[in-house]
Amino acid sequence: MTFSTQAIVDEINAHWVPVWESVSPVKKATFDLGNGESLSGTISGEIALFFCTPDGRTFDILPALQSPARVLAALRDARKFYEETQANESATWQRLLAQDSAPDAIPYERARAMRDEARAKLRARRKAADEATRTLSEMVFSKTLMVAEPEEITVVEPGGLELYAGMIREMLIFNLYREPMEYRDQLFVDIFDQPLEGGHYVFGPESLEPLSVSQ
Amino acid sequence: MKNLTRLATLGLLLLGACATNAPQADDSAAVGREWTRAMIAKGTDAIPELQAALESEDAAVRYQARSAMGAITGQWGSKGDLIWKRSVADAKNDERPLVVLHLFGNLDEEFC
Repeated sequence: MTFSTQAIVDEINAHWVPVWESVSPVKKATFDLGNGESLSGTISGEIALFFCTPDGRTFDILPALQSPARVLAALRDARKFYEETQANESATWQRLLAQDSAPDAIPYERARAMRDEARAKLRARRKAADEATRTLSEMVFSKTLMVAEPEEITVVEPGGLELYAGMIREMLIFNLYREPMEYRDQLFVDIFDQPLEGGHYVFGPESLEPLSVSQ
Repeated sequence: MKNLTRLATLGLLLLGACATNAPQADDSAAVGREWTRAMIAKGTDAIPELQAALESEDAAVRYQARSAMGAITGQWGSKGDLIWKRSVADAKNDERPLVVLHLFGNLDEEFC
């Protein structure tokens, strides 16, 4: 959806070379709802958008699924920075440090604490239900596809926790100018907490436990 | 009747794409897959034809067009106006910065 938005397409075509790389097979889940209908979705579907010099060295990262408006603003901001400085080392350092000390920035330690708290809540929820319900609850935070006649409807739930930004700045400050794939494990496993593994999980119509309204 | 109409639509599209390589299968799914393969083989030259097929009233035709467009442009659901490179190595150049999307799965598949 984001990369079909005309303003983003125009910005990329005018100023950037677009690239996509897969970091891992996607993990899929399909729930058979009966009557020929099913609900399918991805799990652990986080993304990252890297802004790189023409020779592939990273000078900034936009983490997680964001709204088209946010992606467009980030593209324009990164392009302006690149055009003014060629993303040279001194300017990139100053930019990262300025972002880190901005009034609305979430400091690294606070970001880690917030992330760990969110993980603890997620793990508690995982323990509290059967496998199908746990999978469904994770799936709704990612891309979900409802299949019913005559067409499919894709729903994308924007994630994009601001708390990632502080940890990513920290990662870049210590490991600047690497190619995107060199950040894969640190970004997806350590920061996003998403194992780099795929698979397809299928659940039958009887698999979901009825939910209590009070839950 | 609906299937006959769909088969006729895909058959006509296939004839336009690859008149010398018409499939022998007698079902619309096989015709659709052959048409998709022919479109992908044409590469970016097929984009105007695919853009027209994306406007078809037939959901099956639109699906086949989206599949071919995804394979050609590197993005599922694309309208053909953004062509993605598949690796940083392929994208390196002397002039333009790169915007690199990292994701689970593949951007040119329906369900990534």
